[in-house]
Amino acid sequence: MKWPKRKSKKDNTLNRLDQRTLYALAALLFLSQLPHLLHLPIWVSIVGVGIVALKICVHHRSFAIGHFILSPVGMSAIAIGGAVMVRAHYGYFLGRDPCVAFLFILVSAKFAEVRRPADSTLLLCLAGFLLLTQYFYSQSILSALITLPAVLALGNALAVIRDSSNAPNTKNNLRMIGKLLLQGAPLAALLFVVFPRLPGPLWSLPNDASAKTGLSDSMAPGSIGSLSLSDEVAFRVEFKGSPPLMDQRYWRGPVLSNFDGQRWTARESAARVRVSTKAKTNASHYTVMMQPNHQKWLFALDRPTSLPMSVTSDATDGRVLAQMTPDLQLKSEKPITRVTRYSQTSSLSDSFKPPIRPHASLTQLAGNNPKALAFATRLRAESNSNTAYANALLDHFNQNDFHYTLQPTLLGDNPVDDFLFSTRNGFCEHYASAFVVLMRAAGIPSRVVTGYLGGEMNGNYMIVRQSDAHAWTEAYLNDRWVRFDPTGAVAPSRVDTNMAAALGDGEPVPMMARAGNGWLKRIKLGIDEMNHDWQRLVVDFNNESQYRIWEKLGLPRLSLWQITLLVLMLTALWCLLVLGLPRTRGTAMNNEDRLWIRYTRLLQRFGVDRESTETPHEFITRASDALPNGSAVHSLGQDLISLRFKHLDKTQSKALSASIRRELNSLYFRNMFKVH
Amino acid sequence: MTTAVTSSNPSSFKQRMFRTRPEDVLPLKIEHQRIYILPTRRGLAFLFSLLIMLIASVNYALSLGYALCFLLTGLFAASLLHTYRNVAGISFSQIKTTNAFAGEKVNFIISMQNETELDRIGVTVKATDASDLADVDAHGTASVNIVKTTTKRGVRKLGRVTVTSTYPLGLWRTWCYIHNGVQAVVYPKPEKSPPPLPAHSIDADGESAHKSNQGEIAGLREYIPGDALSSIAWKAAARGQGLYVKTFEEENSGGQTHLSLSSTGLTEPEQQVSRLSAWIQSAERTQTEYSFDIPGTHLDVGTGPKHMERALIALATYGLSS
Repeated sequence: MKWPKRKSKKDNTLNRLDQRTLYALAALLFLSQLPHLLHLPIWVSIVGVGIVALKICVHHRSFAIGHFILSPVGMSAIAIGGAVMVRAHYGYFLGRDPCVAFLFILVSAKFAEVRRPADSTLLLCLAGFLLLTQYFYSQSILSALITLPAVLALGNALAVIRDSSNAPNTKNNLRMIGKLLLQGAPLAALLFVVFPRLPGPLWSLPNDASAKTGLSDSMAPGSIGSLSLSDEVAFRVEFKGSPPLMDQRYWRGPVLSNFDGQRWTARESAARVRVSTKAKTNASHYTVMMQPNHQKWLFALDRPTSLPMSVTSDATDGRVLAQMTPDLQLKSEKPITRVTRYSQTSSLSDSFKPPIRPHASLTQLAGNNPKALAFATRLRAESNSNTAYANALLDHFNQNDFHYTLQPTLLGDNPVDDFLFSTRNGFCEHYASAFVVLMRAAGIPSRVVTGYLGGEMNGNYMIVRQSDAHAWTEAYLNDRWVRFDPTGAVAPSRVDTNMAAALGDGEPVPMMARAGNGWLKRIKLGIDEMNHDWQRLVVDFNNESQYRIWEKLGLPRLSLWQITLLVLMLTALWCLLVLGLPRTRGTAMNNEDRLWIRYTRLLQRFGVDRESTETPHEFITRASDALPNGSAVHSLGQDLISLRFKHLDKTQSKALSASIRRELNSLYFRNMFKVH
Repeated sequence: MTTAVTSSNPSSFKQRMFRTRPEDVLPLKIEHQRIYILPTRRGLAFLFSLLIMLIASVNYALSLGYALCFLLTGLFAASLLHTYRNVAGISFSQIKTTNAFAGEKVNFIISMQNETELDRIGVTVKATDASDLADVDAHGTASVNIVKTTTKRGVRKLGRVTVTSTYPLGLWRTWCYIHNGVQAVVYPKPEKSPPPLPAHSIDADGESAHKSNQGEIAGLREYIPGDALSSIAWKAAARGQGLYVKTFEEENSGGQTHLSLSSTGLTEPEQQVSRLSAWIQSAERTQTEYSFDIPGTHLDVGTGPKHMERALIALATYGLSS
């Protein structure tokens, strides 16, 4: 007597993973390592991916060194060495980045020594966590898409570990996992929407600071110019009402008052001003979605008249994100480490009356620029007033041979003299710096203001990029701070168009900052719009978005137990639906019937309808006589008839229905594209 | 305690809870009432790592982290339903047994039937000390074979079997118990080198005559107390090779014999049944008709598999309290 025998699990030799399991795990590992290669130090990537590759190589062709490296001793050495190297590379260990780098190496080391099913379980969990950590670095649509194959690989690895001896093949496995994921998706979506979100972190590691991007709190020649080479988005803005004109798009950032002869820095002051909230004429209301810059300031159109409030459904609940300093900077307590959304109001004017008189240091000079001082003294003597003097300076820039360029000539020991009287080419920071030096030389309090100038409308929102970074100046005239933009005197199109328009040909302007509407730029703008929506709807999804959903559904804010109850009820419903699915579908129609119906529908498209009195055979013959591709139609019909009426065993009938399906598809597509 | 409920309703809570029902009647379809499901250890580990992922997502406000976490939760939940469905609705149509001599193995062949549209994969059937697994295709049947070892004569019960599965992802284990009284009979282990069959001993008192010097000598075997002196190979003994007994071609093929406890010439019951077991086999081999008589069972003269089985079953259970 013979009965179907299957290898029981215990028969598997446990000390050597079989090939299927090994490959499934390797695929999972590779896919979860892939997104990290973008940000990890190169040596970490090489070690991590290298170990996985080595393990596969050794599996195929055994060699001594490979075995030694992959032995528990070798792997312990790599894990410990990796920890030491990571510590050395980052300078600390208990932080997000070094921990991710170490996890990356650890997962590979674990893979090298996986032997028992329990090991592979641990590996699966580690790989899942590694997959999650990629979101520390990017939560773009691409990051989401790249996760999906990894999740499939995770499911496949689970299925293979469960039964590697006689599991269905990988294709069937993946189909099954796909089905499970699709069935689980409604539940996942429900949890995503209703799971309570906390407004702040539970804890933060001491060294979680990340590379600062964008403007910094100091300015030296070249610092903004280098920023201008970046296409990166600084922030996006949605305006209530029409967006401001081009020459009003001054986004105020760090104000730099101290000068050491080379470098401008901010003057630290703990003073904060109270903000009057009276509505002003020419006020602009808008919402900013700021990318994390890991700095403490927020941006607002010059000049801000409100404090930035985190955006909520109703104004009452917004948190104040930052305070305003006397020089009208918006400063927050903590660095901006995640995408921040705030509403802001500004009054679009180029001068304002300050709450306090300017500090004496605002006329201090440093460095050795004798020619500049002499020039300032002479020009001031020729002018009637400070205002006339400032305008005379602008005229000087405008009427002399000054050039606006991203590639200025290097300056010597007396940079302002060199710039004003010999090189005469520079970027906005050169002009702003020289202007403030000349103003101070005449005893007028003045300072450099950095920020962004410009912004490009994309649909209903504005994109402000790092390439829009700019420096301008403010001078204290007649008890008011007045904005002067000397760059505008040299290159007016920098102010009323954008940087690219102001620069000559051959300048290294980044693509997205260029004027015109090239197809690549249009595609990129389209992608940015998608990313903007993605950012708004998915990445920024928080407790306030949840409240908005309840509001739309006409529900009050749900308490925790109400949410729990809702989830339980919907989960029960989901169970019933999923369990009910195959039964209804299965009994409704079997495979042969489905194929037959597809066939008759296809012929209907070709213009042949089945008469109710016709037998299938008659119908097929008539159709094949009538149609130009009759032979294919006929043989397909014959196959369908034999599938239905011949007694075929399971494998035969499976093969036959697969070939029928292929043939149907090819007929369908040939019909669609009219190829016969 | 009110016994009214329990006595009137056999599928009461208590019985369901503790599975006290002694016997499930076949064919038996596995319904949801008797299915249990819990996460496996891998499932628990998976759940734990989901929790860690959730905490990380909360702390760093990773929206995609939440999404990944919940996607995997969905996978985990959907696999629960699939694991459950892999076992629910399978019918157990019958259990066949094969009997065996002590020391050999008995088989319990359990037939499963699947009347649904779903293939059932890796359905494992476990008894206390053996297990087997099979796939049951949609609208198909399959069987598993539980092989149990035996040591002594008597009956070997299948006992409670557990039908279990971890398909598809091994994150959940679903199981149910089936109680069936089916048992295989373990025949007494036949004596290794039994003396030849007793001759036609018609005398009821069981006095057996050893007609051993009929036919040709087939070989020698070691002396066992109780062998006739006349059959000892004295020549070999004289050469100092020890005591051997001449065995003969059993030429009473087609003859008749009577087997009973007393005809064995032994007193120890286990030795008696062991020798009888051997004799029954050799009688069947040589097609000797035999009548069989032990306390509680009497078989008339006969031969053939059925006859043998009845005799062996009687021997297997002789003297054992059932």
